[in-house]
Amino acid sequence: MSRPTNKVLIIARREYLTTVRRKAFVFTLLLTPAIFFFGGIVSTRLQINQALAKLNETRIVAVVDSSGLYAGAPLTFGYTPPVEPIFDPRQANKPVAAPKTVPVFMRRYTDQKTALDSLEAGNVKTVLVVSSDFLSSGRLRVYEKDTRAFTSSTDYRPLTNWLSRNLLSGLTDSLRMERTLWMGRSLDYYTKDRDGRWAIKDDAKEMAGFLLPFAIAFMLAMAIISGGQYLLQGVSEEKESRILESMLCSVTPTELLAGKMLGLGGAGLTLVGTWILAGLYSSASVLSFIHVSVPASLLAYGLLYFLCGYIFYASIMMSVGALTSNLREATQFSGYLTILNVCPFWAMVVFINTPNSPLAVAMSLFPPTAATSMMLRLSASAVSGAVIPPWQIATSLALLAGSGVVTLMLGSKLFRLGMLLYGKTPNLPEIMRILRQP
Amino acid sequence: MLQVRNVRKVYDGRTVVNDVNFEVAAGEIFALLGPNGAGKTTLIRMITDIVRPDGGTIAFGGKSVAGPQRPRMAYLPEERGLYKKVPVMDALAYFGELKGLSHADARREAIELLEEFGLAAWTKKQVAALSKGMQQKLQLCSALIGRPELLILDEPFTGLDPINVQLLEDVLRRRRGEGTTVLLSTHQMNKVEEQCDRALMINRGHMVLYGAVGEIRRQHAANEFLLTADGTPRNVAGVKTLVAENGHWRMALEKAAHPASVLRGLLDQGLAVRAFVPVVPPLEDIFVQVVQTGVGLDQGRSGPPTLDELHAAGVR
Repeated sequence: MSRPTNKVLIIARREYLTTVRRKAFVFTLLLTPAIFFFGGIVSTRLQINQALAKLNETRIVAVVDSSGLYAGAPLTFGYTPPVEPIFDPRQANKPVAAPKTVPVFMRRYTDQKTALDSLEAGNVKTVLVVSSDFLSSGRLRVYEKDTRAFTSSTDYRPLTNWLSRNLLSGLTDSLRMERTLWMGRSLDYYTKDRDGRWAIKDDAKEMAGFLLPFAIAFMLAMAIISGGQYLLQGVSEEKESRILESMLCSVTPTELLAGKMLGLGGAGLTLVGTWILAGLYSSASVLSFIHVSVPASLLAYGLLYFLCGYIFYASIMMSVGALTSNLREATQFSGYLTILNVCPFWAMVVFINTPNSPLAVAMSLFPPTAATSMMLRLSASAVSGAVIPPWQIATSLALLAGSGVVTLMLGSKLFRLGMLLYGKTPNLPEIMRILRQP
Repeated sequence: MLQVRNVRKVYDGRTVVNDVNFEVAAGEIFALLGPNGAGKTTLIRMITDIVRPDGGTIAFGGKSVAGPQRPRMAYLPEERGLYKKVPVMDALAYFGELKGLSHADARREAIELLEEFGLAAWTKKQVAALSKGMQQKLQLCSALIGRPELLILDEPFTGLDPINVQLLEDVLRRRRGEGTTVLLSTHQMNKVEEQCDRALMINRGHMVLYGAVGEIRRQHAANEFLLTADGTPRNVAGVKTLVAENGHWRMALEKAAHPASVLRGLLDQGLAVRAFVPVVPPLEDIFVQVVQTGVGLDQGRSGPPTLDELHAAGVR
């Protein structure tokens, strides 16, 4: 006769292997990052290509100068954009190609209507209207036939440079002119780094400061949700197929539960762990280039929060699966739990910018949101250098672990007796009666 | 031996199992009978320790079924299922491992059982690919694997064709011969008469019949005999009624009449008696009468009704 721990391991092994061998698991494991990866590459490449094409195309601009300030301005010039900073370490040591100079042709129009007719006819691509009170009001109007939803990527610098250069023409020397035109390009912004020293604030690092906490907390939430969902699905299927009663003759509900939680939690961890390792491997060079390291303590906390959060959510998911009459109904209930787990992302900006704000502290102590919230704070602090008080981490973990034990105990009872209620979902008084059973 | 002592279960103030006592010996096939909702499933769930009783004790081999060392038992519930998307061998071997067999032993025993039940050719097929009858046999295999000491079967014959019914009966007899205790819950009374040594019938949680199957039937027999003879019997002392029935004569004897005196009287008439057989009611008739009359259901009593109580209630 095997020992109880052996039975737990037998169940865990079976649950794990059955889950990871499913086609759906393999597809999720491979396709999800592939979709993100290729989607990201294709989408970024498309946007870059579009922006480059826009930048490099010859500009033909109709100018309606009601102010008369640009009567003598040259109508043809070449625009050379400034060199952009490089974030990609693979490109860091390569020689930077000089930006391409794009020819810009300005055509004068006496009135706006004629200029707009010309735009409609396709003779010009842009209409620039300089209002008569431009000097006092600064108002300009630009017309383009553009169907894009967002216009923030449109580069107006050739026009604004032309306007500035010709407005100041004769009033200053060329050097001052250049400094005025590119003001801010050479501004070095210093903030204190993690060691308290003044250091240039790095745009790439700032980006990492946003993406890293999001990625780590997202992965943690995904691991908890995946494991919980597998458990919910397994329990619902077993309840629907009426297999459990036979099994409970050979194993105790606790053994069955422990085996399921272990096996399916392992499946969830395998899924997300693979994504994390693949993500860290592929982004290692970028993180190293921008001097961002993922501390081992962060991964250790991630594992701890996964364990506690998983026990908490998995126990509830299991109870839902045992009490509901079919998988569809169970999935509806579990949706609310998933929302509770991911709701810290709604306030992600608060977590990243002010990881010690009252909202961030409260949500990282409240068990249902603790795992995701604290991982957001911890990973944000790994980039920004903010310090999360150790007592908050200890209290958060203790509350989550304690709640996990309580939900596990209640879940075991609901699982044992709820699984025997076929064809009906008990209401709250009935659930309370089940909990009062010996 | 399975020992159920004064077991009681109450749900929401309603007593669904009330002071039930019985024993099942090792190597015995024991029938648990009762109408729908009588409390059979609750009683079985208490024996398998899925549900805890509110009173009384249940022990197997002298040890509580709720103790740390659980007996090797298997339960095939009436509403049962299997993992559908796994190979037959894996589904069966998994149950074997849960019952304490090693991985290798579980697979070896699974092969033996699949061969015994004619499913050896389906070992690598998915369970979902099996017909309903085959799945039924596989469910039986999942109960039998691990050589349980106590085997609880709820309506095991449902869904099986006559050949497979015969097969299952043979398997049960073999298991009984090997010392397995079998608790059989069924509404197929003919199977109880054929297979079971003793029976317990509960109604609304109360024990209403308990004893050897043959004895229960004999106890419920009226003083009636079936006579096969050449010729027509004339009036015989002690015979209340005489009715011709399918080439026989059904004779109802007076309560005080002794069958031997009546037979002697018939022979004295010069009748060539070829058979004189007591009429024993089928278990099904006894079941219907006991349930319909509701005998033994008075609250506060302990144990099944006495024979006198049954007769008084009109149960013959």
